[in-house]
Amino acid sequence: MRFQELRACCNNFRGKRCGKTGLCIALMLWLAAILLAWWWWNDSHAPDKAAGKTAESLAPAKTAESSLGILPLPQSLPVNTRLAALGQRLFHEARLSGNGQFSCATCHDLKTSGANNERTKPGINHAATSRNTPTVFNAAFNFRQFWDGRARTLEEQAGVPITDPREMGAKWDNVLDTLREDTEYSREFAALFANGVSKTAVTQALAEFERTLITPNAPFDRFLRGEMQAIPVEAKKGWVLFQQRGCIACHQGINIGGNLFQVMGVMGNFFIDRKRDDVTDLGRYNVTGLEADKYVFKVPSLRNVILTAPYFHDGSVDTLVDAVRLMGRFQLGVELSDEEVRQLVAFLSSLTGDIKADKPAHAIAMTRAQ
Amino acid sequence: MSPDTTPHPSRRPGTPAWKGVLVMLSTLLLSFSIYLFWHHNQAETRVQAVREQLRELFTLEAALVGETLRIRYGHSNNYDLINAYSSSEESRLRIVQKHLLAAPEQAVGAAAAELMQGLRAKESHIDLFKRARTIMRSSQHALSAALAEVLQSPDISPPLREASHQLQQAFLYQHGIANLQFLDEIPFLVELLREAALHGKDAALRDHLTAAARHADLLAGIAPHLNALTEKLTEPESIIRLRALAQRVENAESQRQTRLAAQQLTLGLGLLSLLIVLGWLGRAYMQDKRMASMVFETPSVGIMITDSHARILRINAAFTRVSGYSEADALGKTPAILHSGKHPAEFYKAMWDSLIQTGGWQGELINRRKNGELYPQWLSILAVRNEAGATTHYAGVFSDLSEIRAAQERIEHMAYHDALTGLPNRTLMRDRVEQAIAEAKRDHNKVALMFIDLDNFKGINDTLGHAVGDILLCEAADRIKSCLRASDTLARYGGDEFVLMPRSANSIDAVQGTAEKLLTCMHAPFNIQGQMLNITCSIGIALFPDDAQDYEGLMQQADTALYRSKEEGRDTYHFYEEVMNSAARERLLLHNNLSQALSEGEISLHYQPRVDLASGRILGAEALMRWNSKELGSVSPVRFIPVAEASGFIVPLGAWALREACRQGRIWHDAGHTGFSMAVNISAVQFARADVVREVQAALQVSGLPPNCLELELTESVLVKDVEKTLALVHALKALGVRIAIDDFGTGYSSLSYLKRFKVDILKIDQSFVHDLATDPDDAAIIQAIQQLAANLGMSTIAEGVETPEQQAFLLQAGCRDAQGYLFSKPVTAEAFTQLLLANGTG
Repeated sequence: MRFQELRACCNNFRGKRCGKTGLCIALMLWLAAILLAWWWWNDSHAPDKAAGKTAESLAPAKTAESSLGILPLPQSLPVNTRLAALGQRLFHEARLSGNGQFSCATCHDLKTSGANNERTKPGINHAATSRNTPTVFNAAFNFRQFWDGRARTLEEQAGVPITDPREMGAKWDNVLDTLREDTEYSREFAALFANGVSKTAVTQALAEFERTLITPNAPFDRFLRGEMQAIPVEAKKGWVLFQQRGCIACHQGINIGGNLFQVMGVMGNFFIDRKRDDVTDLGRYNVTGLEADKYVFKVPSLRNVILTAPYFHDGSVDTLVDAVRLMGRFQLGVELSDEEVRQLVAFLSSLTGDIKADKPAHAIAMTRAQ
Repeated sequence: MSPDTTPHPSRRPGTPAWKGVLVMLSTLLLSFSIYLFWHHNQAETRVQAVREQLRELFTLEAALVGETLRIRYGHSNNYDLINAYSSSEESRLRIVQKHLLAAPEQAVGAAAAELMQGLRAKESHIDLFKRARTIMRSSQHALSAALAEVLQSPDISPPLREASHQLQQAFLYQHGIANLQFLDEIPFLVELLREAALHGKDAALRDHLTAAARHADLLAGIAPHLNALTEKLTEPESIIRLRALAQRVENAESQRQTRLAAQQLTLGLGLLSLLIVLGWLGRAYMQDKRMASMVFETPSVGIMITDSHARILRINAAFTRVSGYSEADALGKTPAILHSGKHPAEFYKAMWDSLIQTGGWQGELINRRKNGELYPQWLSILAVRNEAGATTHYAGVFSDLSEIRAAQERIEHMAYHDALTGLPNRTLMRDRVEQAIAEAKRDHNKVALMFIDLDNFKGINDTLGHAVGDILLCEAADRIKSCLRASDTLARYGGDEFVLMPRSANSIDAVQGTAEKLLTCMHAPFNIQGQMLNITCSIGIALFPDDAQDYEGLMQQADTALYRSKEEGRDTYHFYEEVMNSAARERLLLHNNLSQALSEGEISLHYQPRVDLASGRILGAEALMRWNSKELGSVSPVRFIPVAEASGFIVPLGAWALREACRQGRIWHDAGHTGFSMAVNISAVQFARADVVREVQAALQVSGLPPNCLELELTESVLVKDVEKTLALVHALKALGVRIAIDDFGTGYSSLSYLKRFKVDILKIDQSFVHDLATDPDDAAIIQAIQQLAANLGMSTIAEGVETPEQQAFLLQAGCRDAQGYLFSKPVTAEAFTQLLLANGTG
């Protein structure tokens, strides 16, 4: 554009009789262009909004504070609502699976616990998966995803079950084609992503939605914020025990767990009596190949734990009472008394937060789009 | 210039062709310079972004080292922050890599990849570190608990007891600074425990022994592992890689700038654009400078770079902050300026050997600040070598451990010193005086004790506030000190009272001289926050062996003499004389009335509830004496108990209180409050009489109160007096089944070994700590320390004087379970207490 304008100007000059004036005007234009360039240069050095946002999200969360053992959850995390709404639709989208019958929500029931109550839930080929479904609630606060921590981020995690033959068993090409053919989807993707529908876009949307799946205001969080009567006496005793017995050594931080790996069976061989010979029992070893990582798993979050039976990576324990007792035996090397277990379970029951009603994804996406 | 201004499009221009060419050329140059601007702009944005990320990376790296140490030493209780630092480092480096991709500079890319590899390796070390620290933490809990159970068992052999103590110490110590001196002995100790577990008769004891052995074994394995990981994570490896990357980025950037400048020059842009370029070059140069210093100024970790002869080349701001040496002081010197003289020459030799042989050294050492202060630090040194393998530089990175240490020392200091003035407290004073008396006995010398009290201090406190009062106390203490010799001992006895023991008292004249000097030096006004305050003092003096034979006696006589000085209009001093004063008269009055008070029923017991902090449920009561005299009105226990103690009347009085409390306790017990515990204070004087055991036994028998419902509260001072006799008494009392509590814990003598030997059941945290919880972080730290101490020794705690919900919340967080205070209830009569119990719905 500038070139044409300039040329037009020059033609104009040639048409004029006064060359000196032309030269003056050319010089002035030249100066003006340089000024323009200056402005452009300086403007692009003004703080970039997008870059600013990235930097902010990279900074360690302001809520992170390490002198306390447990911190309450925030009310919400900052999300792009339109992207999250798209993620919500995808989360419930059965066409993301190989046979069109499984969605993320099939195993991660958002109305109850963000997981399901089966030991291991069978996927598309009716073949049981080998691990218990972890809850999707508060997954945003876990430092790694999956029991063995093989995904570093929610985005990385979101793509894996879609193509896992034991889970949703789809092919990316087919999934992306289906989404592209759907006009509503392709419109939303186009509005949010320069490249439209892509694998990255799908996983980003799913992850953004998962960032809204947090459960704040658990009675214990309210207690931590100073509401002394938010939890019953039995739970307060349980909280004292939780600290004294050393449970808090692993289950700490904002998610009460979910921020380190630990050996399953610090004080004894947990696997010796299990009649199960499964390579997934090796846990983190499957990711790193290090001998020291055998039987090592991500310490799960205890938030909403009363809802997420059965317990442990293999879903082998049906009740929280048994889970607490086994944890005491294998992780802490103590035999907890019945009363202690009761108090600890009372404490764990106070960790259930607000589970927001899961509105139909479709409705949200449509209102956003309009 | 043509007069014809009408345009003539058809006419050929008469202007020379070169002008047209110039216009064309300008246009071309202009478009080219615009292109160059655009191109440069892109590169510039990229470099800016990279620099910003690198700066952040340096900060994060330092923060990570700090957080690692905080976690290691138990100052940090969750892993969210270290995870956040670690993942933030990685995402930032990934952004750097993304920007570098756009400008493929091989060396830079390689440096970034190397750093990324380093971060990944570090991340797995962090995972292992967290695992090890976690196991260490929970196992320590379990070991302490198991050992406490073992030590409580009456029939364990002395070697086993000794082994348990040693294990306890070994791992309590592990909480703090790394020290593995016990490590070699642990397998032996564990074996001893296992052996005992095999042959033990009591099944429960066997379980505890087995558990203790398992945990000790685990801890012994994990402790060195954890220390190695801590060392690994605090190595400056990443910082060095990061610097290499930053250096390469800057090199590439300056190369690029050179290229750019060359292009622009050869294109012959006009003067203006040249000026702009120059201006911009200047700007970039400044940024360069700034970047280089940013690299170095990581906020909390001290860094020094030396040349191969250990002469300091560069230091950062944190170095100056920690050591006190500025660049001007330190550059060109060797780190020997920091030597504290606390380490033998072999220590430094070993350090250099390690540096020369392995290229690195790290460890803990004590250095000296510029102001002469000593401080412990964790230091990592790395020898930087060139391609030929010759050392060119040494890089030292250190963090100051003094804060961590100071917290430990504060508690120790507190036991012997007054927090406000820093003077010795009464515990230390007693030690010194008793020592002086012992020496004086041997050498037939005299000891003088001066009791100094500020006149009208209460008035100042009430009118001008405690803050001014506190400053005045400190200034007065300084003033008194200034007119003493260094060898005189001055202590703050409490409130506005000081005690002075001159070094020598053989000449009465000299003692008199000191007293007069003190009075005179107080006459100059004090300037407190701009106000001129006049305050005088009164002094009472007692002499050994003339007036009394021991510390208590001397203090009492000096106190009597002080009253005399007060009576005579203050600002004066008196020596003790046999027949003296109205203070004694008042005491006599109290004493006479007191002996009737009991028989007339003027003395009653009030009860303050002790509650479960979490639920507010009443768990027990502390019985407290009240005297409502017909003649004297209501007399405070603070007044009448010392009189009763001095006259010995405390013995029948205490016995009565014990019986009455037990009787009342039984009534409540029978009413269904079965877990109820009744706490009764036992005075030091009462304790000194040998029949205290029989009294307790009798009170229990007569009332029928189960022994485990009775709690005897002793002060710390009781424990330190005549330890062997007290030990026997406490054991006899415990054999009855009653529990022993230490009252006002934290204000007196807090010896770990005494607490352990006496097998105290309960520590009552003094209310002074609870009172300032919200405002004084020291108090919060002290409460947590007491709490940990109690947990480790298997004792429970009761917080006294809880007045606000904030205090309640903090205490709960700190793991404290029981408390008493006005928040729950003041001391009330037995009838009112019964109502409280009913309302509380216990039983």
